[in-house]
Amino acid sequence: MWFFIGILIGALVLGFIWWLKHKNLHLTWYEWLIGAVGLILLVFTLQNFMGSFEEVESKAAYMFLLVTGLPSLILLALTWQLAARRLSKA
Amino acid sequence: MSKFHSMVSRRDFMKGLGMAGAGIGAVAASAPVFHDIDELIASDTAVQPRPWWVKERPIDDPTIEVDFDMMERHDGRNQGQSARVRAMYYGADRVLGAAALSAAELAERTASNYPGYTYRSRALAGSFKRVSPGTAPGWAETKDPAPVKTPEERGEPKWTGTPEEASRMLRAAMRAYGASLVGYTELTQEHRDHVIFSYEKGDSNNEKYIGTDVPVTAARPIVFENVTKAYETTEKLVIPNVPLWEIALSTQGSNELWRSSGTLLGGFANSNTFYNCGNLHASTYNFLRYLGYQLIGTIGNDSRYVGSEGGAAIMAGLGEASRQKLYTLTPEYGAPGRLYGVLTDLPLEPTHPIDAGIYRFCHSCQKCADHCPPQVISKEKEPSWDIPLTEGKETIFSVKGTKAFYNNLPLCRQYSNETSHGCRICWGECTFTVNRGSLVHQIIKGTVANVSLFNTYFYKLGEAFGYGADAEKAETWWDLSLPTLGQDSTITAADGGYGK
Repeated sequence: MWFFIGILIGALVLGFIWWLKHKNLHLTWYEWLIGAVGLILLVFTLQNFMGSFEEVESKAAYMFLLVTGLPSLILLALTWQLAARRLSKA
Repeated sequence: MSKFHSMVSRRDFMKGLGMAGAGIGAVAASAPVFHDIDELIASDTAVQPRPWWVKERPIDDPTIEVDFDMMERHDGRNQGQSARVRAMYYGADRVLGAAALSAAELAERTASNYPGYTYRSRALAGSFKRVSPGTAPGWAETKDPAPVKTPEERGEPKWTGTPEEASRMLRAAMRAYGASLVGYTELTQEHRDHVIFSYEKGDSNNEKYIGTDVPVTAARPIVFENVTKAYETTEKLVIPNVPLWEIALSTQGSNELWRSSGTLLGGFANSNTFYNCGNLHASTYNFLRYLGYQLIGTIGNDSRYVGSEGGAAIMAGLGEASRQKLYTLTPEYGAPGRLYGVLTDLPLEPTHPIDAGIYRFCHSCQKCADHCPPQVISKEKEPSWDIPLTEGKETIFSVKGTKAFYNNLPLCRQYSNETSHGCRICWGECTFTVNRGSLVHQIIKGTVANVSLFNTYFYKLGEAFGYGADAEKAETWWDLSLPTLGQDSTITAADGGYGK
């Protein structure tokens, strides 16, 4: 399953890069960095959320949503806002 | 030639093709190809691989410090499980009254339909029966079931090979018979003088020996003699003064059952680890006999252990010591499972003690101690060479010579006997008793093996995330689809695509 999730994420990232090029948009290095960390953390959260349910550890599953899932979304939102506000000023 | 219209010229393409072909050829030439069983057992791929974060240490140098000069051959009659020993610290009345307390708790929990005491739980735990041949193996001979013929009886020479070949062969055979982790140590003179028990446990745990000495007919001395074959009489167990090796092995347990500890299913978790011991012993004994070698001691019958099974497991690198002294935690499956140590005269290649950061982690983690109902597990920050007194009396059930954390083992067993479930909550609570679904376990184990800085944080994290034992899990257990015997035997598999 994770093989296909990897392909899906790769396709989404590739699509995102193409979309940026198509729109002639550019991200700064730190926006890439924060976004990449957020994405890795999101995938890590998904794996552990699903893995914890496989292990019949439901409390651990929800704790992953809170402890790593929430920061991952904050980082991704931060990237989006940084880029959006910078581009709207330009 | 211009490369304007083409990124790769025909010459470059053919060169690349040649390089790729040569590469594939080199890989194919170096890949193992086995023509027969003898080649397979000589192959490195038959060696038991360990997780990537496990490091080997020098022989006789495990992560727990050992001083053989301090260590004396332990008297196997002096165990915390023994009624006689428990009575020394807690009195005969309390020891003999345990069964009544256990029965009262069982009745109360049954009446209240407590999780893990429902009708089906009582049926499951109460119906465990160990039916197998070889359930009463001897010290050096196992006559039931009928043994195989030796090479002499068959008229062919005994099997010979290098210690490396013998080690891989025996490991493969024992794994096929039901063992999980297998390792070896050479029985050095130091081991003979300090590690091998001076007495078997025998029948010394029996309540009839409370307040008395245990006669040799009930628990025999283990002696070394200048003979070539091990033997036993009604008054002694004899180890021959010939080169010997100790086989340390484990069988597995069911994590989900252990996490139901504190209930009847948790008690059944303990029984579950014994299912195949009789077959494993009889088959291993006969395998060695067929090859022309001896097996001394028994797998699965602790009344005739040759020494501390935890000590053997640590020295052979199956796992590391823990906050519970020599109760060994393995990198693969943490606490659940069962350890055994037996001797053989088949020359074997010793395996190395390991460092997976487990003992160091136990210095910071005290999850088992926090959850121990009778509070018998040490909460000291650092291990010690000095054995503390127990209830103001000399601690006769612990062995000197390791820098360890010391537990009150008689009270551990006494409490277990006073409950209807046998406790064992510490095994279910252990931070290392985790499954493999979540990636985080591999990351934490890999980190713990190399960096101790986060150990306390990981211990607290395990608590916050709700890992560990819970009586409620005994009822959800019935709806799970688990592996045969509830044990993940693929955790030690590296070949065949079984290992995840």
